[in-house]
Amino acid sequence: MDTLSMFTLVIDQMSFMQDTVRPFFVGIDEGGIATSVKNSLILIPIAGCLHLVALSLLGGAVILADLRVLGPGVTARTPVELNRSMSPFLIAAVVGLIVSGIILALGQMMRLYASPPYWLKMASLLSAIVFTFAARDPVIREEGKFTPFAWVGLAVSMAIFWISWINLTDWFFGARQAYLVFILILLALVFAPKIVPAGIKAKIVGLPVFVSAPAMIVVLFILSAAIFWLTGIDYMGEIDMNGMGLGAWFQPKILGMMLLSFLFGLILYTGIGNSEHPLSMRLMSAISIFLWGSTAISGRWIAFW
Amino acid sequence: MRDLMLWLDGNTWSIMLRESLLVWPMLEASHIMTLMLFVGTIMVVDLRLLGVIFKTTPISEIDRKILPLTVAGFILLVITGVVLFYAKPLTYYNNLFFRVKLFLIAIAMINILVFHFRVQKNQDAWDTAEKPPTSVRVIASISLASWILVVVFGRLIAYGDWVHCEKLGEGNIFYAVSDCPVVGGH
Repeated sequence: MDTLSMFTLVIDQMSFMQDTVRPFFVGIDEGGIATSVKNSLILIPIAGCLHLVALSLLGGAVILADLRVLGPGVTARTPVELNRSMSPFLIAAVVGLIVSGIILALGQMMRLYASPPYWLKMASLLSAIVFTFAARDPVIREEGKFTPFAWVGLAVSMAIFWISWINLTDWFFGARQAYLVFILILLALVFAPKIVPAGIKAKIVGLPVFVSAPAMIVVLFILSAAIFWLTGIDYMGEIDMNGMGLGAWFQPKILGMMLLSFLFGLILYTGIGNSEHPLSMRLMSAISIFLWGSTAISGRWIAFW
Repeated sequence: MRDLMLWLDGNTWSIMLRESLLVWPMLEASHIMTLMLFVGTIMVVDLRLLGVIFKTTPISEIDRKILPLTVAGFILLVITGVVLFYAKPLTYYNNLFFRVKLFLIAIAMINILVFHFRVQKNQDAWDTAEKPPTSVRVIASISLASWILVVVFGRLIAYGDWVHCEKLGEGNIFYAVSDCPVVGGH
């Protein structure tokens, strides 16, 4: 049995999943509604389109509200005003995502049951909803102060997400590497302006980092080509994207590091992360982007499992 | 053109990309993330131009703060899109939905040019208007509709089997539009 199948089976080995969730999924899968959805030629594509449009709307709402707190945003409005303006769009997007998501799920219940990315998406979605309305919104409203309600919201949402993340991802398939890169980018946005002050100094510090991505590509190319040339391997016929050599370019870790260094330099160089808001507010906005982003990424990964 | 696509399709890097365990899904995920950034922010700009949201915020402020994000999203979207195309050139090339998507992108880009070189010239006159003039709202409506349709047709590419060359059959208008081969499908 390959590692992929073993990892998928982990879900079915949990007694709660087998005893409670599996019969529930089987029941829905064999029911009339799921059968109608599966037999329909157009329902799933329509739901798929709606899902993607809702995701785009969600992106706009989250980016506008949270980037304002992190620095690059519409500064003519306060974060509270922006949050209030974006709230109806966020709610509409989430409703659209859930409705279209249910239709999409009805078409492939048993496949989703065995899919770790699907469960991670569900955990991310639930966690993002709890976090946004119970933790982020109150903290932004209170200009960075945590109410007891916000602490509970934060604790619950983080528990939902991280327990699921630990159980549903591993390092082998690159998921954790991707998450690590995502987290580091957001941390760069939150902390870079605190580490290096804005102005000329930031530009000088940021510049070498800014150029590191293209430089890294050139160095990697020269080194890899030299290795293949010296060893006499026909590298055009030996490229293995899941291995090393020239394929190392395409290793998520290296791609991620290049992207990270580029963005970190960009943040420092342009000073886009400069914000006068308290660290608590900035962290809450970064977590919000992270959780909604995780919902989108894990959703896309369902197709590849 | 089809010969070029055939050559690209057989290219070692193209094959490696589409067969990769991690890179292909990561590219797809990146495309979706950048789509959220690009379409999400352009929706906000369009809704302001329509006078629906941020009515009291000057349009120039939205331009200055949001458009750089939109442009960054667009650049990343194009890069990930081109690499995705390179990995499966023949599949996309003959896909009718993909062609409609490109056509809609062209319309949206022309719309941007018209806005930038014609409509935006007298922006000072309506910069702070809660409800901008009709010409601005028409441009914003076209933009909003075309980008949403780009997303829709982008999603429909996955259902390319509906309009696969073999299904369309020679003589069908869409067969010619999809530049299907004279004999058989792809």
